[in-house]
Amino acid sequence: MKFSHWAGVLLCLAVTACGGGGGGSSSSNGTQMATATPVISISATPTATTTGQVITLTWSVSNPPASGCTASGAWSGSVASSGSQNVTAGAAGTASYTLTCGSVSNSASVTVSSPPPTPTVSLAFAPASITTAQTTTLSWSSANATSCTAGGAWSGAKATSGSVTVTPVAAGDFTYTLSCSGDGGAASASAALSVTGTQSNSVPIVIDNGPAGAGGAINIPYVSVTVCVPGTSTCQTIDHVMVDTGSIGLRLLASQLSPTLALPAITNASGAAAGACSQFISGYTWGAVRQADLKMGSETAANLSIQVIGDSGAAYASVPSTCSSAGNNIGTLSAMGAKGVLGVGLFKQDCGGSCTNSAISGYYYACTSGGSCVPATMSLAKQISNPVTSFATDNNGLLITLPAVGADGLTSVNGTLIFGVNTQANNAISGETIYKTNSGGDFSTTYKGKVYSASFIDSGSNGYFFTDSSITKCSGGDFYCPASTLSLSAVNTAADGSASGTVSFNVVNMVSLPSTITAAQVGGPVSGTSASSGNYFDWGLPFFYGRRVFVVMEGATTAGKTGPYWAY
Amino acid sequence: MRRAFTLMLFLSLLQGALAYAALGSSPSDLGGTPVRTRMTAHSLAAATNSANPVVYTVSQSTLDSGTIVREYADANNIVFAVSWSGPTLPDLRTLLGDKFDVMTSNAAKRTQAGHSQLAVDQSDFVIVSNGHMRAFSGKAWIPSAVPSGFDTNTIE
Repeated sequence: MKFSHWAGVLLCLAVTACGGGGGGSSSSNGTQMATATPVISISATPTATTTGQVITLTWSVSNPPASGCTASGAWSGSVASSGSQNVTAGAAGTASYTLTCGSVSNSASVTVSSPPPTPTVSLAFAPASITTAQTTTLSWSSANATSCTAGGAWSGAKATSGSVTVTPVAAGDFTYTLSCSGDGGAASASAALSVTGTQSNSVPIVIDNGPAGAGGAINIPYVSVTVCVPGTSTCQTIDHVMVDTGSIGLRLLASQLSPTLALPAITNASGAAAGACSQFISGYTWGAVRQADLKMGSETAANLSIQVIGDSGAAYASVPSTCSSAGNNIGTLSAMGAKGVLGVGLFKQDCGGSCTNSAISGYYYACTSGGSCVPATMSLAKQISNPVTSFATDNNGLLITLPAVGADGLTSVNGTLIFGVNTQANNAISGETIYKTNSGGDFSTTYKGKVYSASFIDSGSNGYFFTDSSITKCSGGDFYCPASTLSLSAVNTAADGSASGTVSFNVVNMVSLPSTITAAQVGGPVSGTSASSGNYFDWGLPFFYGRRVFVVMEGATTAGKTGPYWAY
Repeated sequence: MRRAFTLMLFLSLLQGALAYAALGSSPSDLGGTPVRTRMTAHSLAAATNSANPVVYTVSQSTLDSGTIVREYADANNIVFAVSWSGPTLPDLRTLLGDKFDVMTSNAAKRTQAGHSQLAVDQSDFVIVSNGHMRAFSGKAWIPSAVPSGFDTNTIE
């Protein structure tokens, strides 16, 4: 705080006070002897100040009268003939400190101004009590402050007003403080945040137009994932990651990861940097195997091997020809329509036992620092693994719930990805039928009299894909464009024959949908020719609309049966 | 019903450098050391003239991953059809030969379709590739090279 002030000035005796002009009337008692006229000297320091500040008055009186001296004006009382006294500056204005000794008075004046206003600050959470799966907003504002500094559970210089989203890293009670200062002083405030651990085994699914730059999407279910450097709170949350029951493992585009998120590279048995290829029907993705802690809801998959697609590390700079032999590179935002793929299919690893025994092309590679990669074996523990089976709890499967979507489609859909099957109240199989699959994850579908023995349910397929030469194809041939909505049915049969049931479904005209539609009951052919019908019926994302669909992992036993199986 | 032709199986554990026959071209090496089962088939499809059977050879290989690859070669040992089924994709660049580029260029046009199906139907090349991680299957053939009387639905 700084106050400009003036040096104290000794106010000298006014002529009237010094001159003894009152001498003639100094005594009405003619019997007394005339006495010397008092001379009053009084000063105030400082002569300019602000309300509430201390003023020091100093005075001395020559020839004081026997009756003493009296203070008046801005002070009062009887005072000695010399001394000093501290007084407090009153309201703004000119304060006059007068000393009267007998018939003589003198004054010291002090200019009092209003002080600069005292800063105020407020700080609050909305909401103030959350779970570890939630975020909250910390907002603050201040008045008469020029700078603010955070303390307690946060730190650093802050603007004089603002808000931040707070993502808890752990359960507990946290105090956030903010101190702000200005010309009028300083003020501080604090806000308490209560974070409770949760058994939140679910995360929201959204079906929307997809991430910016992906060029739009239809029927792609997205979740957000939080990946952290293992064992640390250095984390990043990535939105618009596709939920894919047709693949295994988390695969994230390197272009979407912060450069500061230094996920450690995994090496294979020989100590070489491990490269990973993943094969999809439509092409391949290539990148590094890296390790992360994955957090979804309150679930954590610690030290999870993931694929970082398009990793910038020199060891992964070249795509091995035995990886690119799967087709085109689909490891891009536009090709995937997503920032990554969360593969939560029926199996624990993308490859499994085969890759522990043999160096299989198209899976794991040993890469030199110079970027030369050859197929290599990979232990199960280091393979890119199903995040669900890697969770500490609720790890035997999952449940996907999505609302029904009518013939007109919807512009956005909100659903839920729930981890675990029969582990909590929200993931119990009740009334759904169990469809066991074969070792490849397939069951049998009968459609219009033909059996498709390699059928599957795939949230990563954006339509029903099946063979029906009677349905008009859209231009381009990828989807069906019936003149009016078709009501169709098929019968699914478990791979072991233990269950079967009819599925009724609709197919709408893909092309006639408005471009704003992101969820619709669309379908397409598996083949461009009637000469081959394929051996499968792909129950893509539209199958999930209006259903509860359970995935039970290989080897997990629940509801009396052992996975891999579907229940819906 | 699928085996609309008789099979004569000759199990031969061949030890030398066994070559894949790339679709539509001369043999090439896929790599690895697959165990092979060689099958020779004489088509007895009902619709064809049984007095003039289609003669072709099916070579079957099992990759390390367990994926089975079959190649259908005509009398001149030119491969006119291939198929695969199993937990991993075979090396399609090798298996499809110069048709690999046809596949990739067509796949690149299918940006709206999902990731679990791929189909090309052209006069000189047909491919149906489907499945998902842990279970892939597919087949491809060159229509103009298919022997007269051969039913492409018998490719398995």
